[in-house]
Amino acid sequence: MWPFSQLLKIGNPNHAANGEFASSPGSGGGAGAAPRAPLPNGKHHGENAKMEIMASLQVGMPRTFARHQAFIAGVVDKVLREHPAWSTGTKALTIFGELKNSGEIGMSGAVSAHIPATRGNPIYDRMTAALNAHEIRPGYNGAAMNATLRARAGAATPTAAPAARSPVAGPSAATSTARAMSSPQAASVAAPAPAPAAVVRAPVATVANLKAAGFVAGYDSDYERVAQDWAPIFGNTTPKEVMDTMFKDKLGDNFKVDIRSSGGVMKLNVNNASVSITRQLSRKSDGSVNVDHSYFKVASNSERGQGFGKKFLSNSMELYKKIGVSTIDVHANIDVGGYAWAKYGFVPNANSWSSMARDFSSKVQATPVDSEFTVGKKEAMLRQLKNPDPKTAWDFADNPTTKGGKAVAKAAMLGSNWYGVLDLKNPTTMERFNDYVTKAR
Amino acid sequence: MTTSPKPDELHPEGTGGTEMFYVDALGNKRDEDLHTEMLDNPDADAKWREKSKQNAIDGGMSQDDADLMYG
Repeated sequence: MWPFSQLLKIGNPNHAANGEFASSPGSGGGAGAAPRAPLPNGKHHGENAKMEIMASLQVGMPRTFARHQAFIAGVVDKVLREHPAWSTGTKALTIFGELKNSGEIGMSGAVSAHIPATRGNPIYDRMTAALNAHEIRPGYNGAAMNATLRARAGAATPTAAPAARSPVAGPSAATSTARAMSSPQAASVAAPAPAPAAVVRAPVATVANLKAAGFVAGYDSDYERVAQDWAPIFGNTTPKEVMDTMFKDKLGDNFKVDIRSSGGVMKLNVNNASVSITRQLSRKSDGSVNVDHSYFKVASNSERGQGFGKKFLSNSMELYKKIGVSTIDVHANIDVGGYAWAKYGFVPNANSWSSMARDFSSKVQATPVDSEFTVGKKEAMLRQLKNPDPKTAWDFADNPTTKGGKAVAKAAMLGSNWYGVLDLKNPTTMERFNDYVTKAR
Repeated sequence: MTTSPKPDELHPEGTGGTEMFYVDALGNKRDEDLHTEMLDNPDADAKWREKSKQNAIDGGMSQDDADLMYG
């Protein structure tokens, strides 16, 4: 049986009557459920459609929400943006359908936990019956699901009404829909009434605010694509916030920031007369965001020794935390990078470590022993390099064993060639990164 | 479903190192100046030397080897 309890949480009539979408766990969506307290930002429920829907989904499927927050935010944004005139209930149905249809969200565990609380709810029971009668089915995309439901209800097809966009939401649409859905008769078709007053938050990125922030995307159609694909990558962070975070602390002037979106990858090229940087951001299958540190060239002498790299990395990290980046990829193979990136917390991938360990072993093996670099130390280093755990790269980079006053491990790592990743969700990794890169000393 | 691009699809200079470099007078990619400020951190070095020593022991290194190398 496909659980519709989650959908019902989104469109819970008892809460919707108060301008809300969600029930809290265990409330069962039953009559008399108390309205939630005002949001932490002081706004009343109903004033912020996205915030309410996200909060609802978080309550309804906490583990899935935590893993896929960025992706879910993107879907919610997309539906709110594309269908501003739809009623609250229709949006909720569509969001749920798209999440389910995405193939990325496995809701069964989280949703199943809520089934007992919603069984007996007439809407849940009716919609479950509709599902089992194949009137609607899992895998439907949101639009198709709604078309089916509307056809059964004989309702008019809702159409987008851009003029109705507003950053402030009102409870009327949710209320009317929810009241319709709360009636067993209406629930039998579960078709929301056309919304008299569309309620939707303005999209985070638009052609206008991308241009105003200083992003360069080419034709307006390119800007539109970037705006459309913005939320899955940057969430609620606006173009101006992205720009301000990346370039704060007077990193430099006259930066041009090209932005492109293609195939799910958002590519940023940052250029001025002496700097060229490429960052590629993409959503991973788990819903988090990966950044590839693709290219970072400093052309002039003026920036290369003035802490520019440290500042830019620090600023980038602040942005990444803000938008929910989980991993950063890097390719190290210049003179110091093979050592430095391990010091900052990047961990080689398994193939890279296997190759690195062999290379480092050869270099250590070729280092003559003496009273400082003893046979015992040499053999201990060689044993260390037999550890197959790629994180051994950290231990090796920190190995202070010297020969002629210079660290043997560091010397072996200089010029090494490897692909690695920084795991922003790992506290130890971030402690290491922050110790070297972001902390002011 | 979108997945992360493969590294080879991302790095515009193919097999060359592409992250944080400048080109010296001879046309060689260099990165020492860009890393120097971050790597010159004795406090962090000391802290992480201890952590790495313990991590190496936890990963199977003998106490004797660890003491020999990390002090």
